[in-house]
Amino acid sequence: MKTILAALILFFNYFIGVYFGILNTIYLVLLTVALFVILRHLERIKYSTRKEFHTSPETPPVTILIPMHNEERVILRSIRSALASEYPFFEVIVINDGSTDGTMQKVIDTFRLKRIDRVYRMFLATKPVKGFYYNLETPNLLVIDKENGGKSDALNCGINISRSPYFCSVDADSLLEKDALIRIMVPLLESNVPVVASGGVVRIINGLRLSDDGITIQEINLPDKTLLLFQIVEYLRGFLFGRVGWDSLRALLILSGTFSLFQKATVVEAGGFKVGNVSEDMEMIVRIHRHMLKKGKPYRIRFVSDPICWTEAPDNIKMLGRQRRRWHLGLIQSIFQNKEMMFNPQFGRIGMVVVPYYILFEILGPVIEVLGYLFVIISYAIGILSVDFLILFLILAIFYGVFLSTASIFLEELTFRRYPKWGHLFKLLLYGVLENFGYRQLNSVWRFQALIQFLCGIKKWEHVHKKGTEAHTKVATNE
Amino acid sequence: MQDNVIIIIVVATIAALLLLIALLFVTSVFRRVYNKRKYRKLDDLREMFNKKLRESLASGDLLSTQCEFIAIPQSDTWQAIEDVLLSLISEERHQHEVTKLFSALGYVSFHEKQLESRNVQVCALGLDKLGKMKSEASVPKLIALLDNEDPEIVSVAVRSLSKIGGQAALQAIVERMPAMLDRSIVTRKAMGMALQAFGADAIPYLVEQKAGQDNLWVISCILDILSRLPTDPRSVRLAAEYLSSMNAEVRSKALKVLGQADNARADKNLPVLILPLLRDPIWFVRLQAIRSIRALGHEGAAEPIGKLIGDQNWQVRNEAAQALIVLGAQSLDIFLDVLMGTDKYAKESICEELEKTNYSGRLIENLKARDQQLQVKSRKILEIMHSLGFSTPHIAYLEQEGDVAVKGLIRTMMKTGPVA
Repeated sequence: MKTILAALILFFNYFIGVYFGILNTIYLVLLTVALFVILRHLERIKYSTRKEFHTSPETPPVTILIPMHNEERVILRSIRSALASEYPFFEVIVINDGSTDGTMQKVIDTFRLKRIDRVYRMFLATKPVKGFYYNLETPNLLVIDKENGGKSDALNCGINISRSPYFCSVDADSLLEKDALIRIMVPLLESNVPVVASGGVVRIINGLRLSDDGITIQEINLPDKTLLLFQIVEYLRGFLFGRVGWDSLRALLILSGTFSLFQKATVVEAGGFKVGNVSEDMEMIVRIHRHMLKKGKPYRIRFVSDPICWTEAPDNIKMLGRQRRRWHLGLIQSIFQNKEMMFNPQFGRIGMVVVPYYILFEILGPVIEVLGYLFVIISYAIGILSVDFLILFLILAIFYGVFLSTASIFLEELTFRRYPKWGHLFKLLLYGVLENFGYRQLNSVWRFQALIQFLCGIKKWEHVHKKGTEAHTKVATNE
Repeated sequence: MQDNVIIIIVVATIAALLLLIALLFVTSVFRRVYNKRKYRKLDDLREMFNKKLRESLASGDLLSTQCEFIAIPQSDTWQAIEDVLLSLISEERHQHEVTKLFSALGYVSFHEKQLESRNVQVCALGLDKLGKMKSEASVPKLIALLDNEDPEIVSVAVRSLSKIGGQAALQAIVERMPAMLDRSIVTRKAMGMALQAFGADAIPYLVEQKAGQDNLWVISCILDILSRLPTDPRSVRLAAEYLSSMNAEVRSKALKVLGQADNARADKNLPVLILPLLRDPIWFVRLQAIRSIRALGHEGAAEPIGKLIGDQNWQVRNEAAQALIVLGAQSLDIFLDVLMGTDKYAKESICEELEKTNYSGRLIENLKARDQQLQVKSRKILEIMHSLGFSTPHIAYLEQEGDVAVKGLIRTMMKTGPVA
């Protein structure tokens, strides 16, 4: 019996070795591809047509959709930054998704909005709309007040009322850089194949010093909190090599709902954002892939590495845990709701490579990692793993993690260098090392919990409370 | 034995990773130090050469002092001088001298050499720089690249040619128009933007290019570009000729050309030419016809546009409602007709526009007008608006300080309920 158990454990140990070997090879490929793509992109920017698109009739109108629910501390910053976008034709539609605090009143008072009657046609079904608010002085701002139905419902409501061929979804706690909209649009305008969705980079706003207007970045600083620093390194890794890599392989399955651009007609055709999903952005992308591939139409979903949207990150373990569980649960839901794509040649590389990758490595990854820790301990306890091996493999895993984080920070250095001080560089590198001791494991546990939630049929949206960054603005003004 | 092999592999991997981490770290630090020094030096050089070049330009002996500005290609000094000259060339008074200096200092020949590179980015960068330098001597080389296979190179070449300007560049682009339209969306967009940059100079070439052209796609593009250029009688003649084209896209673009507001002053008969297209079977032609008539302004337009309030296409309905609002008082009867009708969609479109443009406020003001007919019509419209749920302007008026009699009328119409 003991021999069989030992054999099984040994087999599992080898399995883990091979599993992480494959996973890390994939990461290495993505990193290498991302490095070349980003360098090429930076070269192309030197002769880019971005400025000319400002005056070009080819630049299509865009609607910025900002869904809000109890966001009174942060919403004004988000709306103001959206209105300050440097883009030829755009409108901002803010959708109040049944806020119970003073969010709606704050927006009405600040922008001196008046109630207006609008015809509301439900191309996509939504919860009832209570009213529309508008001010002729800010003609490109419309606020919709509706009953609570969730973020997807709010986005669908915005789509129903929008008149532009493209819409950009932006979170209520975000700060859009002035040129972010035109930058996210450029690949779409320069593409020979219709781009139906594209995403930009999301960065963490905590630590930033804003000027008096509350939307202009005065100074980029790193936050003091350890948890936020870990997240900054994580975001750099996720956006600068993960998404760039997948994008260049034409296999992008995730765009951040915080800042993404969509072709309205495609989203409507695909049925709009799915209500009840905890991660509406990812599910939408997976469904767009399914829809377009089924129709056999050429299309692209792009990630662009230079438009930037700053957003607030949770600064305590409880909120971060909620966010990460929600993200992972959303990923699992999105994949399983579109499971017909799995190993289905009709869906090309998405069906044959990307969806299986997400199931095997992203969804099951945390399970294998957590089980791996357990089995290593058991292996050691029953004497089939030597201390030397244990230490060596532990060092290997940690060094690989450090390598990926360092490479991401290097990519940031090589390209955008948004963290200019020497202190920033060393701090980020240090946290790139430290995150491997506890933070990474904690993330795996949250993702493991999300899988359990999914298996138990729990689909609740775990709300993350936003603190707002007014304090940063005040500091900036006082100084 | 097997364990030893595994240990060796793992240790080697760890060592490699450690080496890579150290390498990335050192490169990051080194790059920062290098860039900091480089850009500080570049800033100093730019400042120095900006002063020197401005002084030389002011003294008028720039070309005689040019030896001061000769630098080794791609050195920091070379880059700083290029940056300064590129900023000076945007000032029109210096353009001629700076262009000459670019050539004399070897920048033009350096970037022309880049055009021979197999690397698309190097070639595109060279093209871009030559365009920014307005190097007329490089035009033939840029034209040659218009036939390149790569759409990126063609796009940058077209853009640079438009920056340099001149007949040869313009003619070359227009001649290659059909090929560029066929090649890719990217080259098509670049060409459209470039021809627009040529301004009125492009008009005769575009009009001429049309001659002998039976490709309607090309005609449509020509008309589209003409609609973005200043108004010109030649454009108007060409557009008028294509109003009856079999191709809807061409008809729509012809309408766009005719709908340029400046044309209204030159030719009073244009709206009459456009009016029949309000009945076009294709929705986007009707839409463009409304837009053009609205831009030109025409007294007799209210009635035919009014008929489109009930159009089967919502974009046409909305456009018609907006046009009628602009036409003002002459549209009241049409509004009333539609609002008394049974088409809910059309009625809602009008109400929405009346409220959005604050025309409803004018209607409320009309309630105290001396003109009895105007008063009655306005009241009727306001009653119907209320019955359709567009009561916010009514309520807003009641809540603010206003005419007591008007408030009384509004209260009455709100009490009596639906009329339509």
